[in-house]
Amino acid sequence: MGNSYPHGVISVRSLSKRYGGVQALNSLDLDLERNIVHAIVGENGAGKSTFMKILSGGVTPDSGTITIDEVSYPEITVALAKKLGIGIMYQELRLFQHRDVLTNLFPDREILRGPFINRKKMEEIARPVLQSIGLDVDLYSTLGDLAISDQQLIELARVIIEKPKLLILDEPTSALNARESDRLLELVRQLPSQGTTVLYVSHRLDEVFSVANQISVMRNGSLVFSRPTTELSRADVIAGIVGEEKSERMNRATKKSVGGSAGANVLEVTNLRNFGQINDVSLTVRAGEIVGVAGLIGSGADELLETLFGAKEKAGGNVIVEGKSQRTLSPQNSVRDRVALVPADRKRVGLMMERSVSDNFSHVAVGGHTHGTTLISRSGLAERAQRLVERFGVKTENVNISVGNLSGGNQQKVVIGKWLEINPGLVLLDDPTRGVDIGAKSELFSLIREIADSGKGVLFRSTEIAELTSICDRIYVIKNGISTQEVSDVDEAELIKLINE
Amino acid sequence: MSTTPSGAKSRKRFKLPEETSVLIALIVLIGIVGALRPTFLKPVNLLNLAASYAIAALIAGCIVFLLSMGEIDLSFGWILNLSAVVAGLSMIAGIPVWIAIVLGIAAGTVMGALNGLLTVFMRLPLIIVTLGTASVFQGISLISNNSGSVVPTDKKITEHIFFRALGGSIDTPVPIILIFVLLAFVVLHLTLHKTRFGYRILAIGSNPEAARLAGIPTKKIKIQVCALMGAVSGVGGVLFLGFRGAVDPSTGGQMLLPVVAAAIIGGTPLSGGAGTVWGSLIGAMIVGVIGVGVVFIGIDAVWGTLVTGLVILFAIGVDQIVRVRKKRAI
Repeated sequence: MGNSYPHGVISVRSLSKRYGGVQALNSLDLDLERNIVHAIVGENGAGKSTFMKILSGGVTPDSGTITIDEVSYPEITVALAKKLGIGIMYQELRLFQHRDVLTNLFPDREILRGPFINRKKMEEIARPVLQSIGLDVDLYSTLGDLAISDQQLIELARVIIEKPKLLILDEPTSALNARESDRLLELVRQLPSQGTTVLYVSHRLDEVFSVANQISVMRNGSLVFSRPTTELSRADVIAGIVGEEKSERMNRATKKSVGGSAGANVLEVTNLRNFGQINDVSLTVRAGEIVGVAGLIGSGADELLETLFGAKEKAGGNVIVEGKSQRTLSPQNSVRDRVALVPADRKRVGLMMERSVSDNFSHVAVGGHTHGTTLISRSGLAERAQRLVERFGVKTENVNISVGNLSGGNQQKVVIGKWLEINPGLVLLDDPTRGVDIGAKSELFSLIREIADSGKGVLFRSTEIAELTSICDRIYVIKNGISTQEVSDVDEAELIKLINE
Repeated sequence: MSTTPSGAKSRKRFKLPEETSVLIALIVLIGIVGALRPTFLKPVNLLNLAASYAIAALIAGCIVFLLSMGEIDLSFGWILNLSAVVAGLSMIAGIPVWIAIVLGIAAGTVMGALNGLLTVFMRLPLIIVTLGTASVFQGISLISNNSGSVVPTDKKITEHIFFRALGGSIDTPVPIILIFVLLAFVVLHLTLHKTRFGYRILAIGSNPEAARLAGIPTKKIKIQVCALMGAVSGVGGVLFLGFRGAVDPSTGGQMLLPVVAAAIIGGTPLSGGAGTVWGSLIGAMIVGVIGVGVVFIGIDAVWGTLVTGLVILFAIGVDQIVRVRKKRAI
């Protein structure tokens, strides 16, 4: 079946979709050639997700047509997507946490023998697929017990088992470390030769360039351009994503402060251990400095900031904050000693999503802090929020709408703002740009630099190497739970080499 | 930039409080019963109705705190019972009435705090913990008076100002228990919405892990709210003793439905992170009007429970529809 149109094309013409006041897709025209890897890039809100959801049957377009194998459809239903062989792997995991791996690989399409589920047959199908993506797990282990990265690969396997003709991948490597990402990218490259067209959506440009044959850039719901990868440079793509004027601003914003002499130590850590992946970490952060933490997922870098803040229990070692030795680390003590944590998982642990912007800005100042009056007023909270909205340039209709309605970048500004309100001496930023679009990223970067310039110490961990090299004054490399070396003025390639060694 | 603040202010419109719809529902219900049986609308009848549901209302006002925190207490009926038993037995034993009252409320506070300690240290939801403690409190109550009623009969006790005031021997235009409960509601409302304590409760209910990471002492707050729930149940028990003059072994056993129903009908979601104290007062009155109104109209009292159930389903259903609409609008 897949061979009937070996060079067929999926064509989309004047596809539009509006959500309330937002034009998510604005008359999109795009041709997807068969049997290649086609990347789609763009800021959050550029319309990528909406486009993918329309193709996979999750969303009905307002107007326009989709032509597949020379048949035009006004919309694609879930049933039709299944019939046409369109499979999608979402960014968020949609797996059954309490059930085993095998059950998760065949959701609602178990193989039956009579009325009974034929697990043996399912195993036979699943094994080679798992092997091809290099995943070695027990098919009978409970999914929730596996690492997030393994879960993400299982989500991929779940889709590949269906042998889709069009496979849509939405940020497939977001939970993977470098080695796992490489393996996944290798697999994706092979898919076209097996008759699968891949639509690859990612924020990570390195990946896009290494895997895609064709790159399409979207902005404001329309196509900016679609060209073969060989004809494009990184700068072309970034310019297309952010628009000309903005891309220049980003370069400026990420420049390091020059000649700023760092002050006294705000954080001294020696021989820190926890009950997880951290074995022996020592580092210092001085006032006015941005210090980076680099390490693969699972190296301990991803647990370091939470441990320093007291959200994860420490097992040993000394932590001195602003000259004061911390015997017990806990979020309460951290608030008392003016240590701020911007957590990696903003949606789950950073914000009260359904509560107002106003309530969220007072989360630490009223909730965690013990200073000041115990009486509060709605207008008092609103005034604080209004002041912070203006200071950080949060784009929100007013301070009374739910914070869940804001974009990722603006939500992150609320998290940072709620902490800066208690004037912390040390700010721990755990992957603060996750799920934030490029435009908002550059704003966050200048904000982070501003924080450091105001005399605070900043410890910054990121999963994107380029961010570390562009903004940090010094970087600690963490490997196997040990801080192995301290570097400064390294470029991206060097740092990637250092953390992978 | 400079236009933002004034722009935001000019957009500020007068907004009806969220309790408006529940209040309208209450008025409509009273209107329906009144249209069928005009005597129902006599102020004395309405005040008596309010007085007899005042204790349930008071506890509903406090369970809003727990619901806002994402928890629910199933044991409060038996805390109320045991507190009343403690106060009553103390009086019979010759302890001065006011001190016996304090002992009763203290007993309630201790029971509530125990619920809180268990839920925090066993890391279990309060609903599970109180499923067990409810029977423990009931059991202690039964043992302490051999499954009998506690009835202070000594004139020195029954002639005490406390019993005369609550029992209706003193003529006031509005029953004293109602005045007391209304004052308690003012305090509960201000506590939940105008204090740091209240902010923390709502923050925990909204996102417990985010609350912990913001430095909120979540365990302490949980124990405190449970203790408060116990104290208010204890107050309810003491009020009951004064209002009825006796406690029998089943007192409090039938309170779970009307109290939780009052809070939910009033507009407090079970999911935590939001709550309305005044709504629960109106909700309690709705439950009361249904319970009493059914009798007034002449329908068999057995139907009261069924109607209450239907009203709960209706209230939750409307609430959910509004919520889904709001989400779609975004």
